[in-house]
Amino acid sequence: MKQPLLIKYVLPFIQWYALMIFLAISIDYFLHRFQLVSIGRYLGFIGTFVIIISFVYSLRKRKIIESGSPKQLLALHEYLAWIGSIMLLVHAGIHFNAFLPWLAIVMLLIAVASGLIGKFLLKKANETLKEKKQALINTGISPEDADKKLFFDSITVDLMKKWRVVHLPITLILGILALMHIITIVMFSK
Amino acid sequence: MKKIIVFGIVIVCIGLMYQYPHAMLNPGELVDGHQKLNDKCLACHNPFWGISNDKCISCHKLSEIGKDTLMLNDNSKEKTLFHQNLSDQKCTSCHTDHKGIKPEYSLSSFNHEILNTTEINKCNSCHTNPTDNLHKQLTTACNNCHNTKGWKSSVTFNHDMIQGDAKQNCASCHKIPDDSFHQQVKDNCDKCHATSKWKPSTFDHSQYFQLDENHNAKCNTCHSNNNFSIYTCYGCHEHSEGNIQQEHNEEGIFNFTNCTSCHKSGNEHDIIMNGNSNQKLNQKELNNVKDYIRSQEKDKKKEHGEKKEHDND
Repeated sequence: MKQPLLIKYVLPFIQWYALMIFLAISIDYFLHRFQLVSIGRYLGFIGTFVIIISFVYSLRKRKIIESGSPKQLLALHEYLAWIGSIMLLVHAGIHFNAFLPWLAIVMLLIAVASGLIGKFLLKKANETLKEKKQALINTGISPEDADKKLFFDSITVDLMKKWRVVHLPITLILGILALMHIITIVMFSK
Repeated sequence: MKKIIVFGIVIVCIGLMYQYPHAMLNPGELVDGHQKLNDKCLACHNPFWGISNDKCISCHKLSEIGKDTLMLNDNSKEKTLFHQNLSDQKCTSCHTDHKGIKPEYSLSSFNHEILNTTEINKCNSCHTNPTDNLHKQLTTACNNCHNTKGWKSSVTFNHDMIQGDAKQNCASCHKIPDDSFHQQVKDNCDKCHATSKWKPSTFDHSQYFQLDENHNAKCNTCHSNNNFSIYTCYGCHEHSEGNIQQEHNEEGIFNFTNCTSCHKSGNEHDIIMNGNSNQKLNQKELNNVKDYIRSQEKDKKKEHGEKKEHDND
């Protein structure tokens, strides 16, 4: 029996997302436990730098640079952005002070979620949906009836597509908020 | 269109930061006395240039800092208003803010070396004397034991500063070790330990048994389960219970359970009976001792046999 898309693809995606949050909380706990909280401040610099490095993929995709395998650069973008996000989450900690950095963190979480959807779900889900539909049509069912039978899966894929669409603007807003956070820190930190 | 959206977001964010700087940028609460400056970042900060002393001193006169806040244990003394001599120091090298409303949180670090010699020796013009029994007996010369790196770091306590009977009351400061040996000791600690250091102790094991080269063993070889009130000589070389019993029975000795009551060392010829070492007795006297022990053992046996017959009757 074929598993629904939710179990086959959505749950693994949630696992990766949850792993990121779990690692961030664990590292933050470790730093507080051993009185190394100042490291969290520097993780902000490192995490930002790691994420910026990952944007080499975006430059390649838009043909601003010509060298490098897009597939490999995409994998690099995915992993570096995921690791950098963990560092930034540790950097943020659980300190509810100013809105600006917290807005940036919320945007970061949304951007990572939309990115993970792109990585783990959308392509495979689309392929699986098409295979399922074709299989139903092959049994003599009309395309309309096949769509009705696959209603739940179609809804899931549509939702994923919407998440994927927000990846770029959310990342852009994240970049603006992060830049403002950095500028204000430089302005007032001394 | 994208550029307009980006521009719009930037404008909105800058507008919010300008209008609500406390909500948008505040990295933590200001101290209670600075609460009115919550939305006035520039009252203290010079953008990109930090915080200048002038801005602090415009409200906090150096000669008056501490007048109302410094504690003084002895009212007859004057307060040490040390800030007036620190005009060449940056306020932010010791003080910070945005750490919460309690004033004590705003002291980020303090290097005592910035103080002059007179000020640095007046510890209790800033610090409260501890009220425990130990510190009550001592003078206010804190630097006899403590240094300025930290109250508990590199403490060099001199026990000679303790006066009178308090010097004998070690347990008022030190915890009695919880092993069974120390728990049963009634004597004061100085019977075995010096005030300079706990180890090595001056405990003389040879009062009970001399640890010679053949008996230089770990404590738990003889004292099992960390219980120093009991010991065993069995289990080493020829010291099996059977061998010991046979040897002592040959000499007419049947009560041999407390080895160290007679054997104070590993020398089998150094036997103490009734408080006398056999090495100080001549052969005749030694034979007399042995005869005496045998007669005592026989009397005990006879008494035991008569009692048994009486019970059978």
